[in-house]
Amino acid sequence: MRELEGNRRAFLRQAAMAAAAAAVAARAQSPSPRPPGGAELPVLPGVEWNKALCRFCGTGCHVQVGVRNGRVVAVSGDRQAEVNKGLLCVKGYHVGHILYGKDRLTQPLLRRDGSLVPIAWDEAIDIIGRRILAAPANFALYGSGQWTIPEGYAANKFMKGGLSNNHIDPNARLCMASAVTGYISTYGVDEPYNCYDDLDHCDTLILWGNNFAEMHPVLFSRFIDRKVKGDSITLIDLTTRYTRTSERADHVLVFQPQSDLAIANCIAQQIIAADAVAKDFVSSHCTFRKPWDKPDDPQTLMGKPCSFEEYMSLVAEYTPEKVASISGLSVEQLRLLGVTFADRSKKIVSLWCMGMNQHTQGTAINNLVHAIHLLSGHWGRPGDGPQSLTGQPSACGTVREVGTLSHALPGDLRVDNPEHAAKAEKLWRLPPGRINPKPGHHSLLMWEKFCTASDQGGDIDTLWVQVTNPGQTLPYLGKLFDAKRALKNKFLIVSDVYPTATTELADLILPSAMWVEKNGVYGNSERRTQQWFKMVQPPGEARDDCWQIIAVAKRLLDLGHDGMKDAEGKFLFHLADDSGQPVDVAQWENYYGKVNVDEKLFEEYRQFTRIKHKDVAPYAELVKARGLRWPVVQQDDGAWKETRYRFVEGLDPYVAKGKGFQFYHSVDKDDKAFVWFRPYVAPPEIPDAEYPLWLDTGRVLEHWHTGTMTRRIPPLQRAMPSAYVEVNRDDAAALGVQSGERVRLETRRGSLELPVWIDGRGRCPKGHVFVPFFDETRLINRLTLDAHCAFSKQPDYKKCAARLVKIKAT
Amino acid sequence: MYVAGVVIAFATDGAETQAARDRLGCVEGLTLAECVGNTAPAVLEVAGPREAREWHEWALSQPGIRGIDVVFVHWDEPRTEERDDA
Repeated sequence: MRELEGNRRAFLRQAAMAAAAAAVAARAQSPSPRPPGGAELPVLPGVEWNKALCRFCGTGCHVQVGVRNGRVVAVSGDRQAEVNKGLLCVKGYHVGHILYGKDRLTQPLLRRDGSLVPIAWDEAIDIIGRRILAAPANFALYGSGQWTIPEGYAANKFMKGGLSNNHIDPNARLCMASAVTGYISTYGVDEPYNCYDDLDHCDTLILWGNNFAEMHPVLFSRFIDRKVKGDSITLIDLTTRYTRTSERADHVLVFQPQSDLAIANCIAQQIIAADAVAKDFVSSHCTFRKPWDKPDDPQTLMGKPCSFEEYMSLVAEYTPEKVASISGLSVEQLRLLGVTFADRSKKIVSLWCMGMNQHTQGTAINNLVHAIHLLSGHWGRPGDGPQSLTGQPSACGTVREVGTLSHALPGDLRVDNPEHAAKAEKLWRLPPGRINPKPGHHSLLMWEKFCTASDQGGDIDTLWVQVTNPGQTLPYLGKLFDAKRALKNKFLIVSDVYPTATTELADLILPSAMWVEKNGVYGNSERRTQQWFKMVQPPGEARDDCWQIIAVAKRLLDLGHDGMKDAEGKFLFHLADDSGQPVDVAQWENYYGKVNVDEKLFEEYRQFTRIKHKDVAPYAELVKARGLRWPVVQQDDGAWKETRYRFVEGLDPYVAKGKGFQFYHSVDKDDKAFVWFRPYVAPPEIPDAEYPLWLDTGRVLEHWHTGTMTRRIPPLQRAMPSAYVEVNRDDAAALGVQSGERVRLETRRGSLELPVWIDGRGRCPKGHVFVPFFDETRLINRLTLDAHCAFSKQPDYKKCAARLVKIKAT
Repeated sequence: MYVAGVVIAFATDGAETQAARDRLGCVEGLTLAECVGNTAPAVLEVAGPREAREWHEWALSQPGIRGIDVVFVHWDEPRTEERDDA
């Protein structure tokens, strides 16, 4: 027996070394390492390997998942994947453990007399159907950038095509809505034009409020690997606090919260002053935009045209000297940024994530970063351009592309555009006029309406949450949920995999399948659509979120809701097998049977993506690939070709010959992008004598968002067991506290006791504190501000006024 | 038992790298192969995920080590009573 165990260990060591050696070999291929082809996976007794995606962030790392006896027992970075080239971060290599926490939800639970009691699925589905049928317009669905594409598509069709109800919005409203409005108001269409390949080609990487090392570690590693190999590349970390990213940066520029607006304008001012405007590019492909007619008018999303001369006069006041006083950066640091952009011989990539998006001027700062790249001509070459990153695995795929936002339809269409609605009705085979032209409630408004009494304007009375945890993530939580507890007619349904802060508030809990317990398709931050198959059974009675939607739709059909039929009288989710025989997939027994529901829904959705040149690849192609970046267009030889860079001639199949660059969905229909001026605007809440500190919130390496999954992974939980408040050493000394001592953090909205951490993972400048939001036992979002960007409706979790109070020992 | 294949990125400074390799050589359960450029494949064999995590944190804090990426992990299937540590 001992000999067998020894052999097994030796075998595993050999397999692990082979995998690591292959990854090193892949890295050594320079200048642009390509993953080796072929199947180099370790051969382990009884283990079957299949491709999947990491379940966590928006990077979209591919993993190979090893299954033995119906359980996930091994995970390997996928060396055939261009995204991660075989590498995984600390979360990724623990991803297999997320399935096996001891408190998985395994049966539907209904709250009766204050207690949760198990009920059958049929009863749960019937309860939801009857609640919706009683008041269809007062129902809302709150989804997620973790919905798979078919799940989000089914939910969107159910709501907008079935119920004529646009009250569907995702948690991605809290994380990347400002990037969406930034892209749309700059290029006329959403999503990055570029891709991760930029990290292999840039000379300078500028991070705008983005702790890249902890939030997207594999991509950070891809860049840092070039530095390790001796490439002459520069990392500039524009940040409000010193982080693990800062440790690797060549320049750490710590600025005052909100002053990124002034810094971007200062860069524009210096580009102009240095006569470094890319005149040919700008005159051929850009026009200028200001946010209003007159500075006293409110800013608008699409603004007003202006001349270059007017633009120049607007940015003229943002001199390095003036912006130094706003931002806290030195004139020399600001000049470094100006000189960097004025030099076209070097290629610059700007990356951002929550720091720019969770911002009351989120759309504006997105506009400005695009603007300085366009103005200086640092745009359109591999390694030279601006790109937003997302925090969820399918914020792009399921939210932005499928259109699970309250105003949107699949394929970047809008409910309030009659032409768009007509196209959607045609593709969905709906009677004309089925789609409601009025946008629904965005996330913050949806929850406000749900947590307000019906007779006081609270027009949402039944709310269904899938794949997210708003009881922990919404800003100013107390304002919402303390009020909701007293509203007896409000009914909260939560589909999830583990108990969360939201299931604690729920009236009905539905147990969901997760990750490789179901089929899935995700879309990552670089327009890459990625597919995987179900590998293991979900525990107990847990079932797919997509099935739950279809089952409720079917119950509504049975109860007589005409919206669940198309124009031909067929069920909205009428699916047939290869022989044309209908398959009732609302019956769970049929869901993984004669049809692949994911494939059917995806192929239906794919028709939408051709309307605005976002053609996703056929499902069958995605099965073979490690993701493909849209637009994916079939070539004369029948092969499907992805697109690395949009709007660039020769790289994007939709750019007309001879155009060079073509913004073919531009706002003004002139194929030109907008170079925006947006002014510096002070934040809505600023530290004062009463609340003298800036409070910033965010994430940590070990935990993904609210920790629902990662807090069930013991090594991650032990490494980062609870939330803390990061305090500057001088501030701590003035308060008389040391690391580990408890303090009370207070804002105008609430207070929270936390242990102090000085000079730990991150380091705040004097006058600032930071608290991570992963800890459900310490809800920092009871303290945060619900002020949000006027255009994107994305709240600002990054800055509000706070104070610390020392807790006296008793 | 927990077996991981990792890629260790070392500093460009030769002496610093050698010192880091020497320190890694003293770690029980770690097998370190030769460098290709500044990176080396290695295998870590420890009792469980907690020990792996602790090693990861320790290694990252060492002078001369610029990064660690994990490419492969295998863990024993937990027995029923170990589910909460799965």
